[in-house]
Amino acid sequence: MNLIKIKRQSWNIGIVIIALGLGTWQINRLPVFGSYEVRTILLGILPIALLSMGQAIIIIGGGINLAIGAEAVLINCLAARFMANKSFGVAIVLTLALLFVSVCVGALTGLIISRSKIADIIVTLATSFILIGFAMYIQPSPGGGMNLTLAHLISGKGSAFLPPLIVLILPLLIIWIPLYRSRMGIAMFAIGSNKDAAFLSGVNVDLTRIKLYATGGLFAGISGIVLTAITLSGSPFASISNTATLNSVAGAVLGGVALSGGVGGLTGPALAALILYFIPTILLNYGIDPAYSQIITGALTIVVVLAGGLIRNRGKKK
Amino acid sequence: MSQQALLKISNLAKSYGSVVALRNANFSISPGEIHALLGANGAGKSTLVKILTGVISGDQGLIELNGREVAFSSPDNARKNGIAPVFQDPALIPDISIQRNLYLTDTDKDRFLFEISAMGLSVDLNQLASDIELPILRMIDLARALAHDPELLILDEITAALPIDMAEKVISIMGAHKARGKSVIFISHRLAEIEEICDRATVLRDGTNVDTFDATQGSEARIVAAMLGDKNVLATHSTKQKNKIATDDFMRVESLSGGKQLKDVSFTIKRGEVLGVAALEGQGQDLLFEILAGASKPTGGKLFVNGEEVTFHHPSDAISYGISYVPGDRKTALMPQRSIRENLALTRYRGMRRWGKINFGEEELKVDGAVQSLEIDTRAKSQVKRLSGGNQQKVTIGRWVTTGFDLLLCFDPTRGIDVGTKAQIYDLIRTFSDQGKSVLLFTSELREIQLSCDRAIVLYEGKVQANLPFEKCDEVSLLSAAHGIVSK
Amino acid sequence: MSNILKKVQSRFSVAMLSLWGILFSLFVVTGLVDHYFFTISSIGVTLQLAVPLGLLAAGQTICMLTGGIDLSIAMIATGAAFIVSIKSSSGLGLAILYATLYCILIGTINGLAVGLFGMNPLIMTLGMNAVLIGVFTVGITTFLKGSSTMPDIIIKLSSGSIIDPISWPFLLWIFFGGLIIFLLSKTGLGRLIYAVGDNATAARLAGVRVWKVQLAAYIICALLGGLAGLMIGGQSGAVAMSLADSLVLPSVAAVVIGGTSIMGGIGSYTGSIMGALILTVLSYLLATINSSEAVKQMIYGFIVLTLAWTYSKLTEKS
Repeated sequence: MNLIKIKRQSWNIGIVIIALGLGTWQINRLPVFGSYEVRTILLGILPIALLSMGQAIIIIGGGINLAIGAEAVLINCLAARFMANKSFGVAIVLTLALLFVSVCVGALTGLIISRSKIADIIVTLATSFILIGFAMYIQPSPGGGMNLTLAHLISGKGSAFLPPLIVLILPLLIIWIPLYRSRMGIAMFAIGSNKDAAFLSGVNVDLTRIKLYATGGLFAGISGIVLTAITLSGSPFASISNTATLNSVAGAVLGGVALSGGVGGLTGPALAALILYFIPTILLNYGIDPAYSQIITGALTIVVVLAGGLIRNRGKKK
Repeated sequence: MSQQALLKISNLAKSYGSVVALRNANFSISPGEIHALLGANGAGKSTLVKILTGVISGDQGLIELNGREVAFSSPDNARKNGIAPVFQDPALIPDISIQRNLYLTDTDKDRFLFEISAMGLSVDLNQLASDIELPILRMIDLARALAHDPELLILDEITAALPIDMAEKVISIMGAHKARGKSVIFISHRLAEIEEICDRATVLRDGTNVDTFDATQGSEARIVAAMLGDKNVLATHSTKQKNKIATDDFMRVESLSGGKQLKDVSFTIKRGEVLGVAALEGQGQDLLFEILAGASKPTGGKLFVNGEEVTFHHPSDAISYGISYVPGDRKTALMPQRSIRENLALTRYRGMRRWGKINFGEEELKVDGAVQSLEIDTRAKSQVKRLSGGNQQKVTIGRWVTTGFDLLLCFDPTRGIDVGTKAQIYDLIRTFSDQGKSVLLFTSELREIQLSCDRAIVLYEGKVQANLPFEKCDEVSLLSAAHGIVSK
Repeated sequence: MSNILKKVQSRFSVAMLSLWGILFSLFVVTGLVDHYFFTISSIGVTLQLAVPLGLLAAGQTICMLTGGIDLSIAMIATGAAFIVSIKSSSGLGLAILYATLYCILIGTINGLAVGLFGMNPLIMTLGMNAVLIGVFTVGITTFLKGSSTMPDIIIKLSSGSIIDPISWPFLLWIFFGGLIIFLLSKTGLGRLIYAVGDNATAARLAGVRVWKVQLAAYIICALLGGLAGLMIGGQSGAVAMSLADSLVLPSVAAVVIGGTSIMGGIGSYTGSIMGALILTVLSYLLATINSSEAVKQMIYGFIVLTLAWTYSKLTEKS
């Protein structure tokens, strides 16, 4: 038992070590390293880290959301379209409204999966088309904007790295930790681990799945808002959403979330985003074709899942 | 029974599409009663339990709890009304800790720990459920149900997966529950347990209750008669075995070991012999069968088939030496969505040489042969998941009849199967033996050893504790050896 | 006659009939919107356009029947087309040999990773796709320099008409489709593909070397993907990196609409063919009503979801 606990911790420790190693490498290459650079790194990982966390929650609950990137893109486009040239107060209200929208989109996805009994992959493949189509409809070409005060409040300004750090950590503190400790959180782990047993233990499986996707949607929404604050525009591209979805799955898996469901947390995926960010950045620094970074990210994801699977299998056999 | 019934069920019915699972069930349970619910596979017991615990809802009928009409919307709802079940399959979530499992069902931690220690067990609450062995998990499930101090405890075949010592513990727990004035519904295929502890028994057949009576010593015949109805043609087993002339060894196992579970196991199986394996739960028998079937690798020791030393890297190696494996869990042996035919013929195509065009004529011949010799009910032949448990078990054995074998490794083939099918399976095993084929049979019901085996070995803590000739295969000798008591 | 009735009554046929119904109604609606659609040559073109999707869906069907999925099929197809177009200068036979070897190589890596090392197929093939994108992006500027136009014979085989509505690609589809249907229903390997998808543990205990079956499935899938790549390349005349991108998700959708379970063990290629035809007519319809890309995406996603939902309800009831 303790062995398994140590193993699970060792995964996180491994992630931290790799992230630190890559971080040191990157920092050493930079001529100066100060709070400005910290902010750059944070802004680089923030959208994908949030998306990975959202994906992680859904995978823990036994699902997978291939539309999570599309959800973030949709919120990004909605935010850029409606927040441009608005006062700070209106922007705040809109932000809250959009987060509510993202929760509803997630909940609706969960509802469709529960009602239709179609596999998560299929439903979310289909909804990803719908969401991207909607994003294109809202914002036919890249553009829009955001209230600058709000944008700085979210992404910081100059060398102010605290705002993005808070945006990264706050969801962990105020959403994930209370959720993990609550009955609803246990229910999410339960339906991911064994749906039948969860039902027999008194869990309302369908309702929990809806909440699960709603929570994932909330993270996707935050990610979309953050993206708008960083880029100050909305980009309605399917390619962005597809890459983001892939990275979110890679981040969740790298972060120690088992694809079979029921196992994992959100800190790992947040750290994994750091790794996914450092690799291409470092390669670019060395003047290598960015296409190589795609090869490495792909290969890394495969190797990590492979290693993780082998470790888990060995643990099980004993 | 002058008092008001705790639970009264009238005219309960449930259908799945065109299949009637429960036709018309009626019975009542008094406070402080242990009531056995009996019936062959597919008689409707599980459906009844599911309705009583809020897993599914009935199509029609009335459930009264303390004279008040109720309908449970969920297992949680049933629990809050004082009905706590322990289901056939473990209901603990594997990947989360026991503590979080308890939280999920609003179970009081201290009460749970009290029940666990009353069972003589100790459980680390931070342990994940998936790290705990099945028998202990069943006991944890039971302790969790007891911690709610239910008016009605429902135990659905809890003893099937338990070793004898723990099964006895369950029986005494039921007694204690009754002594507190609470009731129990007990479902078991082990008739001896029913006679030992139950006050009354209700027998279901084809979804209808056919008989209710006081369960006393010797009611076994009545139970069997009620369960089988007109089909009461239960073969009487010849307890007298033909004293076979020992022929040559088919398989020899020398100092086999596997991790911590199996240490230095040696024995031989002769041609045409049925060798019984008796053991309490978790004495290494699972691993022994897996190693012999080529599904797991031993850490030491040698295997000989027909005097030739063999090493199995994969089940197909064992199969090529004529060794076939019928696993204990039917879920690991069948392809639920495929037809009986495809399930039966599966092994024919295992080698790459058979990847080409199928010879349908030959396949049909073999499959029909197996279906007939095993009397498999083919009404639901398009998907084996729609067959009853007994018929599914026949398909797992039938697969090897179509391909042929020299040694059949049968791991608890009669677990959770009704009396009629059990008899068929014993007969089948004897027939194999008469045809000169060997069988290694592990069974959790010690009585069955005497019914079908020529000889038995007893495993205890991963070692062969005793090697008993047929005359000594009585329950007492087997049981004492299984508990590690050395016999002469 | 009673035999036919029995067949009609069986569950499979109800689903099959409804697929025919959907295809027919889509066909009629498209014809009403665009009268030109009802001409022989237009039907010929539609059938011809369905071929690449049909071939990709064939590969996907085989993978999904074993409980897997191949999302790297886009880059397998694109890669094969690249290799043929660039190497055809040194002889078409050699070029096709190279492309075949490429497909076998990628199929083997996918199959071994999934079969022998227990990789999650979704992650494995997504990762593989990312790696291949990187490899070819680097490749076309270095080791795969050359003309990206397809050789004439491939163009003819993928878009040449014989007598309307029969075209060369359609004949090829009939040939390979027949082969796949034969493989799945009449051969030992077909049986094992279903068996492995339904219950891999049971198949192993029955003496089946599961990894060999999975390996075979991924190799066959890759070869069909490569063939589809040549068809797409031939139909568009030249090869680009995003050649097959837009067909990956439809290939999964076609298989699901056709009734193959994403969990494996149940389904047929006949269903996938229907799925491919339905989706092709649907895109034709969306193209004719001249809607914006945004609306197209939304309708496409919506219809895929509705079809999958209808299908699952239909099979669930009976």
